[in-house]
Amino acid sequence: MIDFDEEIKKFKPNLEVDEAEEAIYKSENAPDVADLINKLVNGMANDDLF
Amino acid sequence: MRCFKCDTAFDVGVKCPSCGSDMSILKWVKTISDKYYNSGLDKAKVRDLTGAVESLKLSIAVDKNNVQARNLLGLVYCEMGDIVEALTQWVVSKNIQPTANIAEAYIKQVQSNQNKFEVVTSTIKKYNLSLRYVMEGNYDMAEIQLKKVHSQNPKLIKAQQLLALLYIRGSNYSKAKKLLNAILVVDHNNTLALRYLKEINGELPTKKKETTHKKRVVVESKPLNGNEAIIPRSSYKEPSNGAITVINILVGIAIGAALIWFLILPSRNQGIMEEKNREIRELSEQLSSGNVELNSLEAQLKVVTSERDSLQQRLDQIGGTDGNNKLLTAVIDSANYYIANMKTEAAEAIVDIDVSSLPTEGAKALYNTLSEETMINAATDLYNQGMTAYYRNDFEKAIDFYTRSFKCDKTKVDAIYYMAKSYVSLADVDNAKQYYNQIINDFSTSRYVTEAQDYVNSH
Repeated sequence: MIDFDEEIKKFKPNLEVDEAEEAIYKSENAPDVADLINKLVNGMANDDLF
Repeated sequence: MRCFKCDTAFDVGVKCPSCGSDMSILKWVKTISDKYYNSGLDKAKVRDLTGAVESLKLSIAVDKNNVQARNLLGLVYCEMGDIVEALTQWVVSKNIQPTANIAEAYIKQVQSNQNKFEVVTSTIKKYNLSLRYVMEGNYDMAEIQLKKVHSQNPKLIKAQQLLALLYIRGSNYSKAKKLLNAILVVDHNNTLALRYLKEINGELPTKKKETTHKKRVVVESKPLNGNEAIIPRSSYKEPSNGAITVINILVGIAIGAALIWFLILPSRNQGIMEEKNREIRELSEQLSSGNVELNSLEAQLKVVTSERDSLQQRLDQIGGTDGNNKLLTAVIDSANYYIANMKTEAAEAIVDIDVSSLPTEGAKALYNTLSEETMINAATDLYNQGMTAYYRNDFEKAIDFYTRSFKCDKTKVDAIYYMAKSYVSLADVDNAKQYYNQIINDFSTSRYVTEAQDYVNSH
């Protein structure tokens, strides 16, 4: 049996045109796995210096 | 790919051509991203759009510079009606790789038809509005908006899902089923649509398939010879069993009743409803025109009443029951009292008159003379009578005298003071406070102020 109130919680608003700029900025600047590895490696390299 | 040590860009090999660092791990990350991209591509090819979105998002999460994954994800979003999401991906893709990028062509194609673009973006706004309506419990409005969205942008899968959910809520399973099947045509593996459809199929009664096996018996026909007589078959049939006849009659009645119920009654009811609605409309029109007439009559009544009052006033002035005659009569009475040395009565006869309302200068002059000669004396006389009543504990009478005294002389603070004290004796705190406050406000320099303040503060 479908619980309407529970189902409706799964629906999220769609991206609108005026929100697109912010979404593009976030998407471009969001870190990916490669960034995380870079950070890890650079962090380990800095530790080596000390 | 960029070297994490010297940031040199390179594509071939696992070692940085500049500093020689081992980039095999980054190469491995890129491979993972490409695998997810391929998975997304396979799913998109078979129209498993939901699955494709998941795979492509993972591809981008692993390597955000995977331009191919972003372009394909944009395409999938576009097919699902999410044009703004699609444009977001293509714009980011173009920023990563400005040249030789198909995203540029996609963006131009979308923006070339500005009208269509605006219609589609408006449907997204309407979808968001519908979602808000649903959250507020305004299901009817949400349904109306979603139907508009569906007609203007039939590709917007989320809107169809939400509308289907509303239909399911209203037990409108056939409409919901239609929508969900339409979603599955576009997105074969849409999880939500599949789940809702499964639930609906569980709600609807299943049709029993009747299988009848009929065996045909083939009778071999013998060849005819000349001696045989061919007798045509008689169409006469023996009457059937009574019970079966009754059952058949009952079934016929039931079918007839069902036909009437499902076919004839609805149209009849609709006809009746339309007739009633027409009557309601006519009555509403009559009522509204009646209201207009009523408002007009009410306005006329107001005008007439006002004219009548004005005429009555004039009549009264002429007839002498009010207005100038009354004023002059009072002045004459006062003069008579004064002549009879009844100064208190003379003052009280004119104490309520406003001298400016007297019609002639002569009357005004007489009023002023009488006022000067009688008011102060009358105030003192009435005050003294008040004190007599006060000390006899006849406080109500005292209040009356003090009130009349103060009317004759508005500077007589003693009258106000003893009026307040009389109310205190009568345990009438509100009136006592009123007159004590009058002392505080109008006679702030009198000797009674402190006592008045103390009483007001303590009550």
